[in-house]
Amino acid sequence: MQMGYLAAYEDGGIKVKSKLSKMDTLERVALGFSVSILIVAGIYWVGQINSVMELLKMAYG
Amino acid sequence: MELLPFFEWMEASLLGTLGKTYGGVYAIGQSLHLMALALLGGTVLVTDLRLLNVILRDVPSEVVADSAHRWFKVAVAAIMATGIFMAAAVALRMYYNEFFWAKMIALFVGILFVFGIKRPLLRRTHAEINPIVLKSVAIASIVLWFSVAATGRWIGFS
Repeated sequence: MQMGYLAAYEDGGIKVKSKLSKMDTLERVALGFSVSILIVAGIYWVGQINSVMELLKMAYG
Repeated sequence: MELLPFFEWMEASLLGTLGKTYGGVYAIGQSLHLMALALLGGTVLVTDLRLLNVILRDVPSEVVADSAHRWFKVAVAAIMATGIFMAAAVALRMYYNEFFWAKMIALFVGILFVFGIKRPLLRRTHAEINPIVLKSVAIASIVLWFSVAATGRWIGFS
């Protein structure tokens, strides 16, 4: 998988930089916020579905 | 911060009394709330599905995002106005309802996300934005506004 652009150094060595370091502040904040939303929403809805399943088990066995 | 006195005041206010006394007025308010929700959902889905390259691929994503955002603002204003009216009529019931609070938190985060992060990001040329960031923002937006709608509907069943 291609990781991003190759940065050339004076000694001729090259270093592969990940795409993350190419992002500016707003992009990093947006990515962080988005991932946080997905994690929190995922936890919330899995919890809610589990509660509903428990109620159904109690009601119908 | 104790919010119970505020909710008690809201239910006893003119707005709350109007909604409780005249069922027809409440019904009209709720209908407008649902239409505004449909408009909001439409603008969110059109923008985010375009960012995910699912729909309207022949239209520049900047055009889709800018056009949809204008109507998003109208939808949010209408939703807030009708939502406050509806909440006032059943304020104490809302205060003790966990799904109401879940909806309010999701709504607050959604508005913060759109005006604080998504819009400033999408004002740039989209081709210059990291594609992973664009897609994450789009998916998070869909999940967030789905949560607002679903918890809102769940209030009615709890």
